[in-house]
Amino acid sequence: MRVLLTFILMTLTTSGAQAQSIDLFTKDTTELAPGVYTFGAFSARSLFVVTDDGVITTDPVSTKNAADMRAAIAEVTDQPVKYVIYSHQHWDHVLGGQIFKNEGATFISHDKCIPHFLRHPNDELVMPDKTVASDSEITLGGKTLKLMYFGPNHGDCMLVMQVEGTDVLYINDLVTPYSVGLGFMPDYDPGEWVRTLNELEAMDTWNTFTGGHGVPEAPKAAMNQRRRYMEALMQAVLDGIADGKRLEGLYDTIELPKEFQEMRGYDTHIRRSAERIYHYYTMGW
Amino acid sequence: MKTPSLILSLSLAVAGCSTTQEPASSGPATPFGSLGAMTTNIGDGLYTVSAGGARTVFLVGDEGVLVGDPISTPAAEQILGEIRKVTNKPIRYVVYSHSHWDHIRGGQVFKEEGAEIWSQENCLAHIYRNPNPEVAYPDRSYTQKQVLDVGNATVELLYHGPNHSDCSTHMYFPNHKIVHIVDTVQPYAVSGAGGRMNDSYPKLFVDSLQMLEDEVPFERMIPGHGGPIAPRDAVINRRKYQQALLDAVKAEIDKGTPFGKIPDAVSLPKFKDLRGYDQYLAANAQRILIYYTIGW
Repeated sequence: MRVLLTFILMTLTTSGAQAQSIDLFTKDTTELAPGVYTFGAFSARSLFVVTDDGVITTDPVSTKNAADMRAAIAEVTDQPVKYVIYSHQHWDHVLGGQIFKNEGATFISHDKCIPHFLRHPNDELVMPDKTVASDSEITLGGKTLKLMYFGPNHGDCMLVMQVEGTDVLYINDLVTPYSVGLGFMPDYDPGEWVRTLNELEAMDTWNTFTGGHGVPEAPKAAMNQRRRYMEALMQAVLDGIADGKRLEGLYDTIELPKEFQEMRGYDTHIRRSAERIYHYYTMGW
Repeated sequence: MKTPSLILSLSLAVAGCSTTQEPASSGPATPFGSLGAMTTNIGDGLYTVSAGGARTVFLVGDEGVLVGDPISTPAAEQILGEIRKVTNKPIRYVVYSHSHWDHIRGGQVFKEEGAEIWSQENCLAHIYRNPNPEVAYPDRSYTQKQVLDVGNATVELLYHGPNHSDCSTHMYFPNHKIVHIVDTVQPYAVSGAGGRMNDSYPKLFVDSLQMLEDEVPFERMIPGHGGPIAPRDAVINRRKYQQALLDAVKAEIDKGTPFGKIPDAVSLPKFKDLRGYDQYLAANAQRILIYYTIGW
């Protein structure tokens, strides 16, 4: 998976007015709240929660990453991994869980992930043992992990998670802090995505979040920026259509305010992002 | 069939959706240009109409008329006008080819004529999720197969799984041995819409076309953009192009070619004469890379 992640991350790190050199692959473990950790690197990141009765982790990412994460967990606790929760169905997050399956973990995803897994089988994927259809929670060793479903947004089976009593949210891929989205992502619904971010922002139960890529922890303001970026992009495309611009003639002329141009990946992705939004407004997807 | 305007851009026929320049025409404005309607009589009651930047079909039977995509409100009005040049029989059915707005707006025009609107059932989620005031909700849906009869003239609505979308209907006209395939196959063209169609299924696409070839004895096809008709070979060619693209991208991944370099590294000389090859091959390859990255 490393080459895949390089591909995705390079596109996010090689442009932008304030592009910086970022170490994509050095993994570390950061404690966000008592017993709540993010493990990974800029390239891919997961959450794990340590309790007195076992460990809950999110995405294994890949066989190699899962082995690294298992070692990182062992540095913190001797407890076994009891649950693995898939944030959504994309292979760059859910592959490689066998090491946790081997120690008896129960795998959980939203139930809308299952058709994707069945349609596109992958030898590196451990199929979920259980699914949830709506907001749900897992309680283990006195800690409760809330699984929240906001409907379709980035894919249609995304779970946002939070350990009860903490003010940190785990939000995979809906926001990569200070970055624009990948312009060519196929299976997202821009309108529903903005709706989801608005709903998340309106929640007063969290102040910071950790994600599926990027820095270990970011403030709510980073989500606010990402939502406003998407709204500005969508409005710019609508304005272009209203001005009679079409296709390439529209994509080539999109220019967002400077604040958004400074987001990571802007130069690389703005044109294709405009194309994606144009399809949304002309084809309903 | 006289046509209001013969200025029809056949160059828009890169699959997925059109990428044409706006032609000088007095037809209705669409996101893809301003086009007049042009009708082709296939024979035995089957017609195909190009209007509003897309192509649709209508079938005239003893008891009424079945229409494919309405395309858009102004296009639907043009299509109705074209139908009325041929018959005064009632419009019985409209069948949406899939859920994309560049094909299914304007159904209200036919609903007011009494038509019942059909789609494959997976389209309903898309149409309800992203409502469009110009898109009429389907009255009926089907899962795998539905036969509609307008009186000694039938069409089979066939679902062969995800391809260009997850709710594309292959409309088969058994009397004519013709299948109407919208966007999944644009004859002898690579994948359009910038080559990066959002909700296409790059791998299942191949399975879907193989199923169509195996199960349906069609001899010709009518596409959803561009020229009126193409031979069965156009479907086979498109399937082979898709498989070659999947194989070529996988080969580069296995070889260790850096991901950023793969789209430009892919070359498929056997398919170099396909329309859009030079412009969109790299974008097509990028879409396949995404498939291998995220499993969609």
